[in-house]
Amino acid sequence: MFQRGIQVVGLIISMISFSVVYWLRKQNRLSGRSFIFWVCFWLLFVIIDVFPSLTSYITPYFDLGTNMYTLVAFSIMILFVMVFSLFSHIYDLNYKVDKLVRDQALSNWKNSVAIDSSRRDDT
Amino acid sequence: MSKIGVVIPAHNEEKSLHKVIGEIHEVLENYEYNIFVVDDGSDDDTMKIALRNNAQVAHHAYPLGVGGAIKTGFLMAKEWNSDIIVQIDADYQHDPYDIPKFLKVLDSGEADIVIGSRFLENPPELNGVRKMGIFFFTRLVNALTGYNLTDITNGYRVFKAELLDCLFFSAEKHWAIEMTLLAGKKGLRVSEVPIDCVNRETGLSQFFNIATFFFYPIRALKQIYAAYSRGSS
Repeated sequence: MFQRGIQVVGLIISMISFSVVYWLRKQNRLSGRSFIFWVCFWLLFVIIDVFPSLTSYITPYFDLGTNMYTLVAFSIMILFVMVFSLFSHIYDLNYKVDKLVRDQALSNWKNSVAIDSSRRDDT
Repeated sequence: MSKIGVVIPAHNEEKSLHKVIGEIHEVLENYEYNIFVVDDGSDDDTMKIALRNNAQVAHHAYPLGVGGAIKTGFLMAKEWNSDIIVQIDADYQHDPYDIPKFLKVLDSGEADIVIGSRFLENPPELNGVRKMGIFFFTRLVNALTGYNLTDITNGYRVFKAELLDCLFFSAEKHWAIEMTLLAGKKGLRVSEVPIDCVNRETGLSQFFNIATFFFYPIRALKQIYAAYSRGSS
């Protein structure tokens, strides 16, 4: 009974995620590669959610005891990878924003200095 | 005569900035100098006040932090071909009338970089945690560089502009540690001069933000790593 409930919640989450991925792609805010990655990811999620016994094929190879352990272990690994990739992406964006802000500030300053000196030359 | 570039990072400092700039004009009237204010994404009239007081102003559309603003100011001073760079806070915690003391030490050839120290004379009243942080990082940087400094986090600094390339730190926040470590790595001579640090009358300290306060040790350790992981060039 409890497992059924979890499966239903899993299905609802995956449906919402599918619609978000589709909406982002439609808005052109997700690249083609990212779209394929997320569709595959959530498809895999739905398959394992509907047929949890499928994990029993890989459980023995990782010596993890039960299907649930396998799922939890893989979920944590995926979360770590995602957090790391998000972190590096944010770091990269931060660097680019800083550079952009500084370059713009310096360029505006140089322009204002040039305008001032040309005004002085005119007078 | 040496050209002096005064770099002032400022974030929402409209109330104190005119006083700082005004006094710098008075102190340096016999020198060839220029004042470079970096308005770090202020919401108030910091930029207008700076322009009204005959300073050169670069405006960050988004706040990059004190280190980020100082870096922009350094680039402005370099563009102007400064020989000496004076770095001073906009909140009037640093007395502009101390600038000649710094210049005297630099001119004497005793040091390549001169840093103000609040602890050589009349130590200020700071809260315990902050004092402990300054004490810890000062000891750590001294141990790593062989210097005998007393106030490593002080932002009142004067140095030769020719050293700018090797002192150009990567941090946007908490840059002082990295800058001093880079100086130590290059074997530069660093001296301190005693300064009186006035408690800020207006505006907010960076330590007002609890996240900044909490992350300070982590970021400071990151700057130590950044200084030592940089190539020797």
